[in-house]
Amino acid sequence: MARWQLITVIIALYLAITLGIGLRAGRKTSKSVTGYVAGDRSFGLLVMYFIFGATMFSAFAFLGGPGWAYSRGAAAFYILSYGILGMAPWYWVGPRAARVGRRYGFVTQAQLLVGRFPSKPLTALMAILTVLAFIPYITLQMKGAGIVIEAVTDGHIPLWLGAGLAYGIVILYVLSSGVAAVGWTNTFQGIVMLVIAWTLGIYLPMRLYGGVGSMFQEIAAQRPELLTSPGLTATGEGWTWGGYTTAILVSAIGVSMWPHLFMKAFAAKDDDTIRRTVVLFPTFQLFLIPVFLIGFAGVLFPESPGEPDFILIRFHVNGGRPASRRRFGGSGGRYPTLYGTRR
Amino acid sequence: MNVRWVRRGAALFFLLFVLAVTWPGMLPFNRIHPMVLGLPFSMFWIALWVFCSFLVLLVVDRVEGRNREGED
Repeated sequence: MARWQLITVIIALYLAITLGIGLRAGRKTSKSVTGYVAGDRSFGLLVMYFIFGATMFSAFAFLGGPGWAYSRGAAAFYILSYGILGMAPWYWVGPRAARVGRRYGFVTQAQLLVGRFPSKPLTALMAILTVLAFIPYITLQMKGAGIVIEAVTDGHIPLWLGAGLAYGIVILYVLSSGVAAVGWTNTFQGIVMLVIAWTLGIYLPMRLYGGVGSMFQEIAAQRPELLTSPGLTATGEGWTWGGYTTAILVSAIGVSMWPHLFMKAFAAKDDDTIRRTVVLFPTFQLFLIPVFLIGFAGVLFPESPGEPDFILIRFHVNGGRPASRRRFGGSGGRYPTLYGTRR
Repeated sequence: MNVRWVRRGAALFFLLFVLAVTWPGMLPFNRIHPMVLGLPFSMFWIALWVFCSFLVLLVVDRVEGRNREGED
């Protein structure tokens, strides 16, 4: 069996497990709207922890994070900066939103706002804005899934098909089980993400440079501009402090208003669960550190993928081969091809 | 500890957090050396604030929890 076929089988298994978890999750919840959209307000701490984490760290953090660190260096630090700033107010806002939700039967942010400020134009405005805002957001997730599947199967499954498959499965379990499915699949995928990020984030610098410290020392010697904020832009020039600061502020404010965080607050079992989720959130957020290490591990390699988003997958595809302990630099050696472009 | 003070303290902490990781508050700490735990100082600096957020929120939760018990 060729390597890409084996990988395809693994992906199929992963998607099947996800689908299985998703379909199972809906069995216990009631057939009501509250059951579908808020999981009968029954989510415990474990699910809430991963749902908040996976909500925040989707394809953007997992593929974009290493991609940013790899191509733009310290510009990526902004992603580490904003998360908890946006989440901390939820310690107080979350339980209050949940209380109002229980009292009036609200299960979405739109219901909450329109319930408080009854107005037709406001309702319409929120509906339009939500749809508009979610188009790029969902596109990004679909493209993320498609990129991964295309890259690891050596292009045998094209991006559109991979994205279609992954999304088809999501639609299947969301339509049948609602938010309960999202909760349990997020928990499964969150655990997988944490394990992969920490494993690769420690393994790659060890393997390629002999350690995290020596990796950064070499980057500091050769490309110091990558290690201090605000880092670089996508074209490789210095990013502005204005852009960097704005990115942090806008993202932090944006996170605290996310419609899907409201939905998750409505889904929580009780107020303490919401509060503890917020308290524990920084421990999840620190997983961005290994994510950045993965990206930084690649910056000294001359042949780079045309699209930075591919950096993590390059490592996945080529990183596991047995090879000599020789470091990068030798032509024809293992590491230069690590980043070789295929497209 | 008084809940009001803890809330003010937490608000102050997160305000300082914002200032410390953006322009111009980050400038004095935006450097490669000394490296801490193998990380460039700039990256360690931000990670430190994230970790401290966890500690601050733990304290907030303890005090708020005790206060809620008193209310009920």
